[in-house]
Amino acid sequence: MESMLIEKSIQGDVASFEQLIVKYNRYVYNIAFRMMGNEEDAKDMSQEALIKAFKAIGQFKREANFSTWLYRITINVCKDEMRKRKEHVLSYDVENQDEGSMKENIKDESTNPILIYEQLELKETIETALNKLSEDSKAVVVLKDLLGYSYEEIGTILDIPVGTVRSRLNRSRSALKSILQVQLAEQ
Amino acid sequence: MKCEQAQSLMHAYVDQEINDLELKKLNEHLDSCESCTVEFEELKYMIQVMGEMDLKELPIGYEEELHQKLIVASNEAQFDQATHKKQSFFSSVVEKLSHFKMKRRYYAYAAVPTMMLVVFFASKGLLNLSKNEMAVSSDMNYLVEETTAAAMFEESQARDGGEYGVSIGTAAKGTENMLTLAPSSTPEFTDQSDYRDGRMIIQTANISLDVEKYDSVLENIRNTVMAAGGYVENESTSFKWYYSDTDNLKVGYLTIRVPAEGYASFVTAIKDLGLVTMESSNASDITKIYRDTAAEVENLKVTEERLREIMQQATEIADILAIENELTRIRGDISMYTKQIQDWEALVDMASITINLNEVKSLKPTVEPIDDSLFGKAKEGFIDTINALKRLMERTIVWIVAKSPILLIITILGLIARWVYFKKFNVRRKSNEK
Repeated sequence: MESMLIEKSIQGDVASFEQLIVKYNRYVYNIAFRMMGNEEDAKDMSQEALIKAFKAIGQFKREANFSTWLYRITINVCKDEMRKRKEHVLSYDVENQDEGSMKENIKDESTNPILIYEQLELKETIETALNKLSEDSKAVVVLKDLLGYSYEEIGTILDIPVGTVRSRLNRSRSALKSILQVQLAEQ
Repeated sequence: MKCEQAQSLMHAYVDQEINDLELKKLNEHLDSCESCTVEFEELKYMIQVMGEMDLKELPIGYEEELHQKLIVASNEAQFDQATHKKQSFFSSVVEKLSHFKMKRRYYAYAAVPTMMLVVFFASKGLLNLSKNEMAVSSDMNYLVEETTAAAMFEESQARDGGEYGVSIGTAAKGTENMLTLAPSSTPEFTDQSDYRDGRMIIQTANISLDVEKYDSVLENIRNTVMAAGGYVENESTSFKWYYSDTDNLKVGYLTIRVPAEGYASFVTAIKDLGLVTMESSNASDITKIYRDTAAEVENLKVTEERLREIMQQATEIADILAIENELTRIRGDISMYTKQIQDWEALVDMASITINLNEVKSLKPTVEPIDDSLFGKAKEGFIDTINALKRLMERTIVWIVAKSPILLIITILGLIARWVYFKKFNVRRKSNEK
């Protein structure tokens, strides 16, 4: 079914392509939303990604998974856009963050803020915290922890080795947690 | 084990990629290191919360918007291929299009001349259409207008030395050029003669008649309908046997269709055939919806023509198939609307009248001689009383016979009860006597 739709889409049939992407639309949109951090950009970017996919579907290799391929395009489109806006985006990535001192601050607190806050608030806080990660870090965290993909799948989507996925994920999570702690302490 | 090692094991743990040995090591470390335990709990909680974060719903209109953009993209690709193969009178414009990479922000700029274009046409009265019909009906129109307008903007921008400001002047210039370059993108009413002018009214009437001679009236109506150039659509007749089997009276109805011109006189003629017990009529005006649909058909025809033009330039099988697909869809729409229009025309041409006929013995009110003498009244009363008595007797007998089994049982029970009572009475009397 899917291969037939792909075949038709390669021939330029819009309806087939729409049918093909109908189950991935929402994921594409959500990936874009997590990457961009707001609905407006998420809409623009996810649509751009889908159009890009439509134009480039001839280059899609059959042995690969269509969804994986689609998500890779989505993430790349978002990354490109963010790079373009780089001057406005502040990165709180691990590399350029004085992590040690931040942790020290937290350790002084006798209570553990994360456990005190309600989950709902926490989710909102995580959303804002996510936006402060770098694109690459965000991509792995979103794919793994929000959308639940395996290391291997993430490796294929992002086109990086599994080892890199693992280390990047660990680093990104620690960074995210640090950001969270700072945010929660400020609240 | 160092805390750093333990941390990487924590991540492995939350991803369920940890083996027993590593888990044991991690647990040992956690037992001894409080900060890592806190760290571990926090991590687990954070991952859990993130896993519970819901997917966002797609915004409203997302798919429609995407569809529009995809159509644009697909046609861009087709234009590209077409222009590479063939040279035509507007190939220079199309070439510009193919070199012109549509960037996102240009859509916003492109919208300005597109708006101007619509306003321009509207004010000039070029589009002899109502507001509804102004709405661009198909994706194709949207495509050509937007892309061409975008190209125009590109052109005017180049003329103005690459300035980004869009002034009304350049936009208007763009629309004028547009007219000469792509005239087919404007849905115009060139041929109105296919459709009706004036009001479109569907007339229906419903008449109920009491008649004396059912068959002759029915025959009469049939003949009149034929003579007027109409026909009988529906007919049904039955006897009223279920409440009177002596007179063979009939009831029935028939639906007739007559030309709209003769409608009024026809109704009057029918009303003379008997006693009218009910009459209603209805006229619904479909002028507006009829015109709208006609305009829709015209729009689709324009789109079809344009697709055929594109088709002539297409050489790739894939292109031809894609255009063929779109053509099929449009042809389907056209025939659907056309059929609707024809149906309406037929309904307007022929008014429909439903006639309910009810046969009665006589249309004149019956006058019976009234016997008002004293004796006559007394006689009537006497006969009534006798009859009432007779009926009462009859009913009583019938009732007794019918209920006899129950009455029998009641009688026996009564006798037993009486016997028992008297026996007790006798016993008491004897004891009293003693």
